[in-house]
Amino acid sequence: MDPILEVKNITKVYGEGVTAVVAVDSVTLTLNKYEVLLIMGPSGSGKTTLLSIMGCILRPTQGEVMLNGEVVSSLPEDSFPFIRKQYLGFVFQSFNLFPSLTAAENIEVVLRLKGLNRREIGLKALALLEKVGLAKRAHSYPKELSGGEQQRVAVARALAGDPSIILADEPTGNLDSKTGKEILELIRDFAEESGKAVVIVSHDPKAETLAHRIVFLEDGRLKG
Amino acid sequence: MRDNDVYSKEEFARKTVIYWTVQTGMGMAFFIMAAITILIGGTIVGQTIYASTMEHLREYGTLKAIGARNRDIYQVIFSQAGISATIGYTIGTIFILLVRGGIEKAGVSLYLSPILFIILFFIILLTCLLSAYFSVGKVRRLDPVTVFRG
Repeated sequence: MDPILEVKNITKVYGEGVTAVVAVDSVTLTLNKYEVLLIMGPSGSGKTTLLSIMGCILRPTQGEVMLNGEVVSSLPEDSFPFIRKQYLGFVFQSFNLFPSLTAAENIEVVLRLKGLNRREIGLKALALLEKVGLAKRAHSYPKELSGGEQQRVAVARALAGDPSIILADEPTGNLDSKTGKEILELIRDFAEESGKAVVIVSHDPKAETLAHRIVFLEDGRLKG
Repeated sequence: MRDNDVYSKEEFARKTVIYWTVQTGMGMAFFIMAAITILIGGTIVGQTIYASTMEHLREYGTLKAIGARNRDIYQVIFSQAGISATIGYTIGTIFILLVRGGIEKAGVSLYLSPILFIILFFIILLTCLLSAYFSVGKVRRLDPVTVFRG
């Protein structure tokens, strides 16, 4: 086992005093390279908070997040965007594509942030769209795409920066059963093909068959 | 010459300018009008950019989540301000040049030096950039975790 992301004794508390809510309570979890990890649990169990902490979007109240063996949770806030850009790719439940940009341009945003030149950006964006089977829709705007197509573009965007880890928050939440399964397979296949680790937060039972490991979260704590 | 003041051409021109701008109060009225116009223009641009920023907060949140720094997003907002300034300036300049002919026909000669246009552009640009500053504050405080909330 080769750990790429570790959370050690993570606690996240929102608010203070009598209004304090413990969203994640003393969670320790390791994500290994090439692994697809599924985090399941009921609504409000802290799954998304845990994913946000793993994705260096949220700072834990207590505990450590280690990426490639280095503690990143104690780094200054302004270093988090660089970590996200360099090592992490995100897939969101609501796709979160930029509505005024075409499918190709949505992918190009990440490549621009990575500092690639114009030629590389164009070629790579098209290659990624081809991978997700949407080369013909490169110039379509998100509103012209179906939910499944939008999520495919979102997966391509998540892969664009060549991250080590893909974090997906309820990636099938807004999709029908068949399309949801296709998206999960797409994420898993890409992860296996390019050697990426994946964390999926989902209630979707279909995800269980695709994950290498499943953990359950309840009231902010890992079960079992 | 006794009982007469004698001025050179330049001195007389300067004296005339001072008379009209200071002694008649026309200069102050014109200055106040220009200042109010800049203030109103700046407020409109500021409100427009702020409304646009609020409308696109989710997209800015997504940008932050995928690794954009605050300064990358500031660039987007200030570019919008710069584009607004350039479009506004171009329309304004065309309008000034069009009405100048009419004003001159009415007997008032309007002297518009090239340097005036340059200064005007920078005043408009500065006004737009300052107006965009309110939106920058909103984006700086935006937490990217909001993108995970539905």
